[in-house]
Amino acid sequence: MVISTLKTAEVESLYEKHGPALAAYGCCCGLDFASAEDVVQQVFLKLLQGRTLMPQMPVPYLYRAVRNASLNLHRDFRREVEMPDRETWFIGPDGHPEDVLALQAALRELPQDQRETVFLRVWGGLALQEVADTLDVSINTAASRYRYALEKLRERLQPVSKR
Amino acid sequence: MQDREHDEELVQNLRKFRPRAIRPLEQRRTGNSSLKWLTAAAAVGLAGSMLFWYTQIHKTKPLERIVAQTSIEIRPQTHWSTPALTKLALDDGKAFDALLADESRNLLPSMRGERSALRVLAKE
Repeated sequence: MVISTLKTAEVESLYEKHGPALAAYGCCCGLDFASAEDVVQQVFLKLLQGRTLMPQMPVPYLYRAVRNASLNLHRDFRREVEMPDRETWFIGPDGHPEDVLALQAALRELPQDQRETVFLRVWGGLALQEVADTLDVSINTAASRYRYALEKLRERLQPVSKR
Repeated sequence: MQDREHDEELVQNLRKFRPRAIRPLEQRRTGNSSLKWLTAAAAVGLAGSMLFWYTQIHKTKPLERIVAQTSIEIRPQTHWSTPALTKLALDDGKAFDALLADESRNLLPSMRGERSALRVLAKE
């Protein structure tokens, strides 16, 4: 694993490309959207200040950092585990907020480990091995969680996808 | 095989939902750095002021402090011209001696009493 510090332009580029998905992932970890934004900001500010050494593959590292910070924040402030009902952290393809809320509700009904797995795979764009590394589980566990999560999402989103 | 295709289709549909945009990255690094320097400068200034004040307080000479503590009352000095003193010495030796003794008592701090210079020096 090659470790280095990133230049400001590289950090900003990573932020623009992955910041929104990272914030949504923070929401998947139980934070409200504003807190998730704050967590992402903190992670990237540390990178800008050179206080964090970056592995060669920065994206899985960023998801891991956001996950740790989100779970810590969630624990420190003893927030409720349930995510806010009406707050959206996605934008729907047709601009229907109901679709977004339905997707978020379906995600919320998944167990946390499956929710994180499917998010990292679908919206984080991570390979299964990277998902496994981020969540600190075996690749087989990650694969089965992903499969179960997709099955449940298919069942729950059927009416939405038929629209 | 069919399941995999269904999965792919579902994933494609899910990816049509894009994560919401977030606020721009706040580069507070410069602000924090300035604040640190400002705080450091203020601390140095405060320390310098305290050091200056401390040295000024302890700059007073010991003898001046002793004289201040003995609270000597210096009476107004009577001026004798040199010819007058010479004439007095020639005419009346005893009066001249008495005058000198009186003047020395007026000018020098008392060596006796509770707040005499000797006692203050002994305490120091």
